[in-house]
Amino acid sequence: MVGAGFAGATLAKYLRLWSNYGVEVIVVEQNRQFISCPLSNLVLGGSRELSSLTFGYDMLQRHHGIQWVHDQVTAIDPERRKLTLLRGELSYDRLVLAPGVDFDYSAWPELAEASARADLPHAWKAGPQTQLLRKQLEAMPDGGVFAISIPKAPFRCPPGPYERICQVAHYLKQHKPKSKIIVLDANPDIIAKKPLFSRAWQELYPGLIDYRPNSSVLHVQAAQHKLETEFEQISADVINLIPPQLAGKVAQMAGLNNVDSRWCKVDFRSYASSLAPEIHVLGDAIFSPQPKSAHIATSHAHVCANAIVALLRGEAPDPEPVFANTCYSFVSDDAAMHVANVYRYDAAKELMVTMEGGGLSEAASTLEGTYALSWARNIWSDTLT
Amino acid sequence: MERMAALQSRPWVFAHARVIHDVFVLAGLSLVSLALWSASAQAAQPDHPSLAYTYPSHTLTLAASCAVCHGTNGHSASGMLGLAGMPAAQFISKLQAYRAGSLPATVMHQHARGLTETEIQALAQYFSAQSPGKTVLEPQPQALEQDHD
Repeated sequence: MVGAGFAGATLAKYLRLWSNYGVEVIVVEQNRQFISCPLSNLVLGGSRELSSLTFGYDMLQRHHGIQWVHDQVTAIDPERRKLTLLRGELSYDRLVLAPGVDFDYSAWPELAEASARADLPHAWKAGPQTQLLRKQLEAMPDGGVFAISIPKAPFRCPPGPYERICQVAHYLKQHKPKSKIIVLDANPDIIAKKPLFSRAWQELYPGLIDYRPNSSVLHVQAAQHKLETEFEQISADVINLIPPQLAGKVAQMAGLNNVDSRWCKVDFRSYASSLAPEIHVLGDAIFSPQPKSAHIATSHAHVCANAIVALLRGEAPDPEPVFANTCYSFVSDDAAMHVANVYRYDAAKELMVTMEGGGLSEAASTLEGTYALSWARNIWSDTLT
Repeated sequence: MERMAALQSRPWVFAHARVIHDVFVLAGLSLVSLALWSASAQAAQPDHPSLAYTYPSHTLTLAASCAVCHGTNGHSASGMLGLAGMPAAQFISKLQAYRAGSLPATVMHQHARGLTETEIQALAQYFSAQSPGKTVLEPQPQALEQDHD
């Protein structure tokens, strides 16, 4: 198992559980800590510390006898079934990759070097960049401009940018009310929970948010804090540039990103790659019509763990897996709303399709805020213990 | 103490787990010996002769999907309703009421309407068979190490 985010950690646990601890699981993960992206926008809003979203893997390892290698994969040899790591080699019978997303800065040659974008955090993986963006907001003068650039879909967490706008607005409204948020959305409209976000922006943060659809950032002048779109040039005190995304580096290394050279095509009954049946890919890295959410990532892991156990028994995996998604977004420090759906495998379409009956909250509420926190505590407990 | 009690109530933790935090540190393995170690790990026979599990995988996937809000096997870590040990008839009538819209909900009507009758019954059996009242473990928050990618 390469990668221990929501998908990878869940796969490791459930493959042990559902094989009655009969399958040896070795996890390779480059980070020592798990940081939850869900709730990390609240750090920007000022109502949460990042440390409250940062956890260790020790309980997961200990409780389930998962073998753990803190290292980085440098090469994959599918023919010899070997991984090369910085400090050694591992061989495997089945390989599962959950590398998350990688960021694509190729549209901006001026940002090719990491040092050129050191001042422009994407904060799209919770961690030090989240803290940097929060510090930049704290240092921003009252009357300043916060600019956020949203890439064309698909990307990790479709409601995430719009939730982030709520959180930044929540902070500015309290502490820097003369400030403004400029949203440069490469998409033609808000792509997730639109009526709920529109309402929150109007009711909670009137006059604070300037939303501009169809606005791709073409050039970036990092030192001058300037962005250029097809239509205009914008100066901002703080720039949150969220780049276009693709399957994480390990999937690229294995050459499995075969949809638009970005995402990995898999069989949704086993998450086996369409290019290499003994390599499974989970989570945000795959091509799928479903949102790239934590709940969906854990669902990929459940289906995959079941399929691996079935395949080891010489049986066929479940021909029609079903799972759900519940995704909460906070519109302030305590009110949240959701989108929820059930998805079922459709053999004719070879995709997971959306069942009737799902949808959005009627309105954001503090009751759903408590449910959202409860969701987080349960998914962390399920994934990490 | 609560945590220890919770662990002791799960004898399989000690019976079957092989604890290796970081194989490199623990065994001081070289590149070559790591490869050997890996090969021997694969050659080892499973602790259990059979990989059989009591429930069909379709039900396991669905029940695990519920875990995200209601906890692993319905043992909730938070104030959210735990499902472990809920009588099957109660589970079924609740889900049917959510589907019909006769029980108010923020989200459960949306989930209930996506499931078949058979799936609701299978989930009811699954959760009713889980023993209630287990202490739920939660990972503990910690300070961020700045070398995180």
